[in-house]
Amino acid sequence: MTTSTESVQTTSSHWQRLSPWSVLHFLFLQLRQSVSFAIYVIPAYVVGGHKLIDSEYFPLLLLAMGAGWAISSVLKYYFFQFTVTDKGIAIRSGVLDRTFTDLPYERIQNVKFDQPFYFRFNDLLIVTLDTAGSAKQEARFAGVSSAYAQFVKDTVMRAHRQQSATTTEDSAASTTTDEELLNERSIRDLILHGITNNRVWIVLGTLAPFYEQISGFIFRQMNALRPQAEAWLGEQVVALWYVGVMSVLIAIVLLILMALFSIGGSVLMFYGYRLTRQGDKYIRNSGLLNRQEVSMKRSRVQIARQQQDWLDRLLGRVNLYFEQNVTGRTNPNELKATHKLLVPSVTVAESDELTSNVFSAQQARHMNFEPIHKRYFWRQLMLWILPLTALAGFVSFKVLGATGALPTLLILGVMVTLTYLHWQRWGIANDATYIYVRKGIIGIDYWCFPLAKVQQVEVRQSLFMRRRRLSTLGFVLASGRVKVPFVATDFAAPLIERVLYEVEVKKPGWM
Amino acid sequence: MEHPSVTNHPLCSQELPCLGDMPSEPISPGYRKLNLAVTAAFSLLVFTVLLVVAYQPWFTLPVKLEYSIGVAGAITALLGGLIFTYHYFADRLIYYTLREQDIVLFKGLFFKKVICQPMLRIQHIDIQRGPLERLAGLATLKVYSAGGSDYTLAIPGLAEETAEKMRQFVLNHSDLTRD
Repeated sequence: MTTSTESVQTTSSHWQRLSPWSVLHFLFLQLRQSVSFAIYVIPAYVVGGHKLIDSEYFPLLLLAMGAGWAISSVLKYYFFQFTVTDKGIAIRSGVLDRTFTDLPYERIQNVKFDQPFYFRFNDLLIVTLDTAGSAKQEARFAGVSSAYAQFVKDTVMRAHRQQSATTTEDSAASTTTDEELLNERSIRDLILHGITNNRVWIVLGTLAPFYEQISGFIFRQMNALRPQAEAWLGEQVVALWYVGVMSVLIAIVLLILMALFSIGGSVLMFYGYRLTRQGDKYIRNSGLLNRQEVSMKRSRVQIARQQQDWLDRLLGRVNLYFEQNVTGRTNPNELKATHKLLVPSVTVAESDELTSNVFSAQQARHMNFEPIHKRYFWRQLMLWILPLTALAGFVSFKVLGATGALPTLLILGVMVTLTYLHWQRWGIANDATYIYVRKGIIGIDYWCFPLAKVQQVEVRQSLFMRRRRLSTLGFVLASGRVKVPFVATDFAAPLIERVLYEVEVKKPGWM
Repeated sequence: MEHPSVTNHPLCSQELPCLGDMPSEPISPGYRKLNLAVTAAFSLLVFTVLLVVAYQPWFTLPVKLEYSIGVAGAITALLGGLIFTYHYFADRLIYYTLREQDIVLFKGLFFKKVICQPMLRIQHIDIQRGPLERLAGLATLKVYSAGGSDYTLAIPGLAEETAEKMRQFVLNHSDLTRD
């Protein structure tokens, strides 16, 4: 497959076109737009339009529409031109509404590759250039060969390097461009990930093999009991019971489906997951139908979060997130977002190792954490648990009478246990370079961020906390805020001083 | 990478509750006056409208509506009173300190809050003046960091020229012209 990106030389010296295959991309975009449009049009047509438009003309209409799309896609391809100069990348696009995008290299934050299914067969890519500003400013060109895409990326990175060669301390590391494989995920890992990330559903989903037996048993029992029940309660009430049981069964089927979807989604998203390191860049490649490549510069990582929910803990897995700045991003879609680099369901040891790769010498899992004060537990108890229990107790006593004590006690027990565990897990620690936060309820999360990346410090104290010498600490990072409540002021005050010293005196960059 | 030339008085020498000991300036007393006046005026306005509706001579109200006007009046009085009392006590407690390396804001009546924004991390800074603030000669200084709009440091109720001076000081700060 020869792509025209390299060969097409337009009359103006540098302006180039995409591969003609990019017509497919424009066609697809239009199709997608039309589908969302059709949601409104089809009902309108069904309701009233069919009187206006004879159904004989319908195929003709579709044909005209198809032709329209094809022509406009070709035009879009024809009018899309770009140039890569030594200063930056410029793009001219649009048929009627001409836009000119000028992207100097220093404004380009991230270069991302996507391979949608319609480019799989000829191995073309969509290159997205992320800028620091709003989403509207991002530029993408669809349908370039992977070699050319790599060339664009290298050009951007080289420009960045030249710019920062004098300032970055690890410029020596960034000159090494050979790829180092850090992590791969097998299908088994991805299935685990699918399971653990939809945990509520899966509990019921595990019953799937026994589902038929269970439901058969229930119905047999119900049928056996029906005559007695009818004698006791009357026919109508029994019919209601049937409806109730049926809806529960349907709900269970739905839950199983959801769990399967979750696993399917996980495989679809992360199939062939590869995390590699190239100099000072981390690159994630994954996807079954649409292959996606997300890269993140090491210095841009603000925080590493090792997240472990209760099912993760049971299976000994951790979801590891590296997060960079979120400013100006309005729709942080968990999976597609480029500001988060997720390594799904790795083992504890792997996650520790990967975190160390980004934040060298981090000790998140080996620190002595300063626990938050027990007053946190008491406050939650007074403020939430007891009022909620009172409410639940009131309702259940009204409905069930004396047996209402049972659900009330159960609710109280569960809430107290969970809050107690939550309080026990929550803690903060720091060393010379990093702040560590530990939290969670059953699973344990470890967060780790460098002191030097803090954007803003915040301290909150209620009057009661002040008397007890406790503070709620907030560290605002470019990726969001990290909050730790009820920290002993004797621990918090020196830590804040330390952070401010690190930021204000040493003046490190955060990007 | 030491910078012995950089000075910055520590946020506090021993412990956090002493933050109040740090020399800090109160915001303009005009801010409190403005808030109190606005609350009072707005509550009165709602009250007057309710009174007019209740006692106008043109038509008689259904009993239900009369009742709900009474409830609305009570709610207005309660809310107005609460907000008035809050501003009365809380607005006096807003302080700020402009230091060589950061801006610190103190506020809060029941929940004491201290926010410290290092100069180095300031993305941009602007002054906002609503119509009422303009009338009172006040301004709000907003300091944005990369942490996002939720964590914008806003110092309300500054005298116009103070806000302007502070903005200029921040803009001239050497940290903002770095890279």
